[in-house]
Formats: sequence, C-alpha cells, structure tokens
Amino acid sequence: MYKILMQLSQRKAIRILLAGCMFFAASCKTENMVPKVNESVKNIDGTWKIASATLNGTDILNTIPDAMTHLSGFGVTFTDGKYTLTNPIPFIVETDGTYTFNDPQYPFDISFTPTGATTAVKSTFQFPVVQGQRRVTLTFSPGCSKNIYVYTLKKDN
Amino acid sequence: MIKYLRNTRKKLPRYVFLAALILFLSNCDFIINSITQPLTANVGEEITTVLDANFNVDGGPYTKRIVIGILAPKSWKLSENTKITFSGDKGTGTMIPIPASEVAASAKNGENWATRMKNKLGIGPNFIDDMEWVPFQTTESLTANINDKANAKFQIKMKVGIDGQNTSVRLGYVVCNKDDGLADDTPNLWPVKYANCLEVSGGTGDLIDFCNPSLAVLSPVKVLDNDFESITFDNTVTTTALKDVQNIYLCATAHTSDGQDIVVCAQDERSKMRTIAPNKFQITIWPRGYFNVPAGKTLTSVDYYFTDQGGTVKVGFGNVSTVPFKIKFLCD
Repeated sequence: MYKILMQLSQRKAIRILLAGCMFFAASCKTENMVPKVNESVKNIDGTWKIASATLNGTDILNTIPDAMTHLSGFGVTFTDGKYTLTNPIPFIVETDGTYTFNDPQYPFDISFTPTGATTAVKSTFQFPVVQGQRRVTLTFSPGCSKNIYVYTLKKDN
Repeated sequence: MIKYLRNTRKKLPRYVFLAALILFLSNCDFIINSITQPLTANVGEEITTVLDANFNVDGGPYTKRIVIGILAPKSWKLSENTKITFSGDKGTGTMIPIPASEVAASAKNGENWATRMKNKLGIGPNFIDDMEWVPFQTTESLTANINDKANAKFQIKMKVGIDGQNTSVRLGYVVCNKDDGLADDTPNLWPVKYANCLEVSGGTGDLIDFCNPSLAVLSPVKVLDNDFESITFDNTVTTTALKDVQNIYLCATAHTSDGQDIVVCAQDERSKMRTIAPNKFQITIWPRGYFNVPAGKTLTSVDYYFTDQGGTVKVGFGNVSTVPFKIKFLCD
C-alpha cells in the first residue's frame, strides 16, 4: 500500500516538473505571439436611429407614446466629419454642422459644432457592440444641466 | 465518525443557546424620541430643530461615527446653510457635511450618502420630487459601552428658504451610524421621522407646496425649453370642473424672451393627454417642438390649463378657470 502511494506521488512530482518546464519554454519571446495590429480609427459614417433613450435614468422610449416624444423619427447622419439631423428632438445640438472625436482611435467624447457656431458642444461617447452590431451611446444635457439624457443609437439599414 | 456525531448532538443545545445569545446581543436599536421644529418661518430665517435620540446597544463596546440626514428642498442648499451640535451622555460635539465623494455604508452600487438616503427613503410624505437628503456626520467617533443606552440631543440650526420662495414642506430626519448606514436588513438602526408641515413665507411668487398633492405635477421639476417635460393632471386630488371627464386636453400659451406669445390650444391629437391611472392624465412635450419655436428664440415660461374636448371647461391653478398653471424655464 505504502509503496503504491509513494509511486503515485513520485509520478505526480514528475508531471508537475514537466508542466513547469513547458511553462518555462513557452514563456520565451512572448512578443512574437501577439499580433501587431493598430487599434482601428472609429468610423461612424451612416445614419443612426434611437435604440434606447433615458431621461434621469427613466426610460422615455417605451414608457411614453412616440406621438409625444417623436423619438423614433429622429435620425443623425455622419459623413466625412459632418453631421445632419432629421426630425430634431432634445439633442446635443439643434442644427447641422461638423463633429470631431477627442481621439479617433480611442474616443471618449465627441464634439459637435453647429454651422456658424464658434464653440463645440461635447458629449461622452461609447461605442459598444450589441448583438454583433455597433451602437453609439451619447450622454448629454440639452436643457438644465441636472437633467441627464442617455441616447443609444443603432445604425439604420 | 459516529463518535463525532454523538459529540455534536451533545453540544447542540449549547450551539443553539450561543446563536440565540448572539441574536439577542446584536439587537441594538436607535430611536428618534422626538423632533421639535418650528412650523412657521420667514424666507432666509435660521430655525432650530432639536432632535432627541436614543442609541441602545446590546453587547459592544462599539466605536462609530453618528450620521444624520435631513430631507429638504434642493434649492435650500442645506449642506451650506446648516450647523449641527449635539450634547448628551457622550459629551458634546459638532457635525459636518459628509463629502459627496464618500461611498455610503451598505450602498450596493457605490452610491454616496445623499443618493443612498434618497434611494432608500425617497421624499417621504412630500409630493414634489425636487428634494434632497443632506448627510452630516460627527467629527469624531463616539464609543458606546457594553449594553449602553445613550441619549443625545442634536441641535440643528438651518437657514430655510434661501431661494426666497414661499414654501411649505415636511422636512425629514434620519439617524444612523457611519459603519452600518441604511442597511436593508437592519431598519432598527436607521430610524426616520418627518416633521409636520413647515410654512416658509415672506418670499415672492406662488407657494411651492410639497405638503399637499397638487392638481398639476411637473417632471422633471426644473427644465428649460429644450428639455422633455411631463405634465400630469391629477383629477383625484379634489373635485374639479372636469370631474369624470375622460378626454382631457392641454391648452397652453408659451412666452418667448422677446415678449411674443405662442398659443397651442386646439383640442386635437397633439394636445390630448393620455390616461396613466384612473383620473390621472399626462402629456409629455418638448416645448421647442410643441410650440414650434423659431431658431434663435427661447421660451421663458408657459401658462396652461386643462380642458375638456370642447375647450370650454377649464381647470387652472388653485382649481379655478381664470388663473393658469405656470412652467418657468429655470434651472437650480
């Protein structure tokens, strides 16, 4: 009995030693194993519609009739650094103009500059993937600063 | 193995006794004995509330800071206008506001003390959700000895109505300790009490009545013309001229900053209010879109009535047909 146990523990020790060797071998030159890919520049060209909308944390897309809020008709189209709005509602900006990211590769916020305006209006920018498709989430306050709107937009096909 | 089980059976009564003892020992409670607060004040006046509380401890000793939260209208900015001192069995001391950056004890989503209190207690018996809980803490920890029953009187001096508006409101007071906070499973450690209605007068404008239900409720309370605004008509508050009417419409006049009036008073699909509960009606508008405000102009206020389908029966402010309800486009 004791002998068998002893053999078992020896085998285990050898196994652990082997595994250790493998880790050691695999630990060399890790930099070759990571592919060299640059983070892509975020491209949001196209027309976007509202997929969800909250005001101060409360859903306003599904709880209030669309005939009152007109959220479903709203659209924003981005092309080559410009944006156009259709059927305006409370949004970051009221008129068409240009937009820029703070960093095209890793954008955290997006600035809208209406045509003719000198100052840009900023919104936080998130670019999550939902059901395999990109969404754009914007957080802003078009009226009183304590009223927080969060719109999540999906691409209109 | 059998021996072990037998042993356990023998020890069982002892375990049960110990468990019961622990339960009994942890049965502490805090009690607000009384709140003495004036019921009238002038705008900007400093009032003094005395909060008498007992801290009953079983077991211990415990060394903790004591926290007091006060519910008041947001525009009173109570955190800047309040001084709290206390005296009692544990000596005397002062209390200071808890910074907004501090996460509350037993907060599940990392919310701060003010948010935790608001989530847990709401606006109490008040009717307008334009209030905040303002948290204060003792500057130092206090020690409760074994089975201590300590009494303390908190003297709360606060300037009320610094916004200069006539207000009636039921202020709320909650007491807890800094380590347990407002834990879901120990409500005996955070007693809350609401004072009777405090009337603040001598200011300007219409009374902001937090104490009584109102015919018209705005949400959010503070908006500009570029916000969504929900207007709710509560036809159950009192008997109105629109009693039992089920098709309610909004009749509104918007005022621009350059003195123009824009009237939207037709009884049609746009102005029709939806039923959200029996005899409660609501409409959500984006004022800039609803009144078709030309670019470059802004709205300063909106006057409105609720009407029937014919537009002849009207209900306005104070349940009369001649004075409109008002939305003023102002932020805090």
